[in-house]
Amino acid sequence: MSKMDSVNILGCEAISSLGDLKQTVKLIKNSETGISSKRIDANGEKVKIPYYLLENEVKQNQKDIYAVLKNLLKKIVANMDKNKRKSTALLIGTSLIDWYLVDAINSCAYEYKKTPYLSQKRSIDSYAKQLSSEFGLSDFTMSINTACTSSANALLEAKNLINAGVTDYAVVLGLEIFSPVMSSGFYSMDLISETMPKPFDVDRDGLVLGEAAAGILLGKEKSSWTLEGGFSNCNSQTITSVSSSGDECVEVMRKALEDCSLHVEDITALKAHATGSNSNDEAELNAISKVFDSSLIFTALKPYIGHTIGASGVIEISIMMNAVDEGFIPKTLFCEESIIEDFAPINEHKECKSGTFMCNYFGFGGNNTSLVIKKT
Amino acid sequence: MRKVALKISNAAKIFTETKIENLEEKRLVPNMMMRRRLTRNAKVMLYLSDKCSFKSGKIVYGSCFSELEETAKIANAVLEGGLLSPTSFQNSVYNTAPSYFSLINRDKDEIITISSGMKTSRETIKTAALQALVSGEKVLCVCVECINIKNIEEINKCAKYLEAGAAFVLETTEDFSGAKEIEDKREKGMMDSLKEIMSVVDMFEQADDKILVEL
Repeated sequence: MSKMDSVNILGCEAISSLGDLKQTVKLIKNSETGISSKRIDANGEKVKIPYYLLENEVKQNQKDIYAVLKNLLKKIVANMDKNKRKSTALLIGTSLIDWYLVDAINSCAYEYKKTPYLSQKRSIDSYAKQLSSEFGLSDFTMSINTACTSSANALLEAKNLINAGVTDYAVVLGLEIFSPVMSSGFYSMDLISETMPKPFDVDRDGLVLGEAAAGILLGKEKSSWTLEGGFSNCNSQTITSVSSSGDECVEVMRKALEDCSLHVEDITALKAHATGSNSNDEAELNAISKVFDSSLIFTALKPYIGHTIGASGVIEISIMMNAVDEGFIPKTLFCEESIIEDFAPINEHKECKSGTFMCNYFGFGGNNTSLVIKKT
Repeated sequence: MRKVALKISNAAKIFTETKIENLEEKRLVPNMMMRRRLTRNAKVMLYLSDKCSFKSGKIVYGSCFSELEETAKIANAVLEGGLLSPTSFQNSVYNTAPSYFSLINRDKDEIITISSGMKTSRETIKTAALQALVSGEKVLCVCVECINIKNIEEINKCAKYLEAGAAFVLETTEDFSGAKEIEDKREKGMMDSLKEIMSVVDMFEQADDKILVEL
């Protein structure tokens, strides 16, 4: 990614297992989590796993998915007039596979439960197209699916769009809802925690999935928050993870700083990806210790809202911004003893009203992204 | 909206009605263990990128159906209550094919994965154009669909070619002379999600190496 101007963050909205964005940050301040549980099919039996679920269930159908995205977008563009909307691109970052595809497979391709296949179903991007049309936005839509980095990468692409003069504004939506395929898949890989995510803790035993929908509006108008820049690459040791040394993550963080013409000492705090899984936490913390010194303030948000996969890019930045607006950086829950003694995430909320923040996202397939946001 | 002219330096396509027989896996991926893990989409992508002489750099990859075989295996295991293969799960994500490319070629550059239903190749080309415009670098734009799975005939009523893919290497140019809009030149029976990219490769093969894309 070449060095480009920063763009401003003009607004954000979200819903998580803790409620809307305001409620989420309020409860985070009180150290509350949105963890509950869900029964899934795994290895021929029903298994109860911890899960961060939205209060109002979003069913796996196009009506529910569209409704949740529409509600979010309605709030985000509420104050934009017709002309501004016309120059607003819409990007969606999600790891959800197209439901019509799953339905097709379930209905026909395999012969377990045969039901008629309805072909009138939508691809993920058709939500963007329809939302764009309903709200009078630009024709430019994009749906990015790079697993955990989906909406983080969508933010970088949105910045590119604005800087290239294609549109004046861009809305990035991130979405993740319960998926039987995904939860069973993570379970089969032994990646789901039995209790709760414990990022960077020596006794961590896995991640906990979460549902969320979030959106961020970018543009050039004046705002106290900016997306300074970032870097994304694809560099892994295996198809699912980076090496334990964390060297791949080191490169991403350093190049993100370079993209923003910043040095490590310019970073006020870092929001880690920190899923609570064994290998990724080790790699990320090793990487952090190679890039920063031990005075770095860093934290993890997944113990509050879960691992929201494709939505994590947008929702975790939204939470960081709102928490700083409220005057604090959230502490990391459930980390009692860090993997690296000198590099422990904060265990008390840290007072903070402004600064420059790095946000990490490291996902499947070695797709790694670091973003930098700033509040003046 | 903004129009950009793209200069194409290399292009390739491949398609067949059932299964593409020779994707030159042994030459492209000498490591047997790695080769055995590759998905169909990954094999087609590696073949196409090799034909485009592209070993490293930015990639924009598109697929409507993604890793259908792996997804079907997972869906089947969930439905029948059988054991779910961790390998299938690892290989089921949309960015699996370009991730294997990254692993095999040690490419550390940016990769974006797009999925936009039947408009996938159009959106992938747009995104690749944006990447090229912003970075000033050459970008590999590649789309692959492999839907040759068990019982596919029960849901597939329109695609004749069940394995297909196309790729081209592009960069932006200030010189708009001779640049053409993408014409629909694709083979009848090609999946709609590959429509535009197949047409671009056809145009390139007919000596049209400059196209116009509206962002």
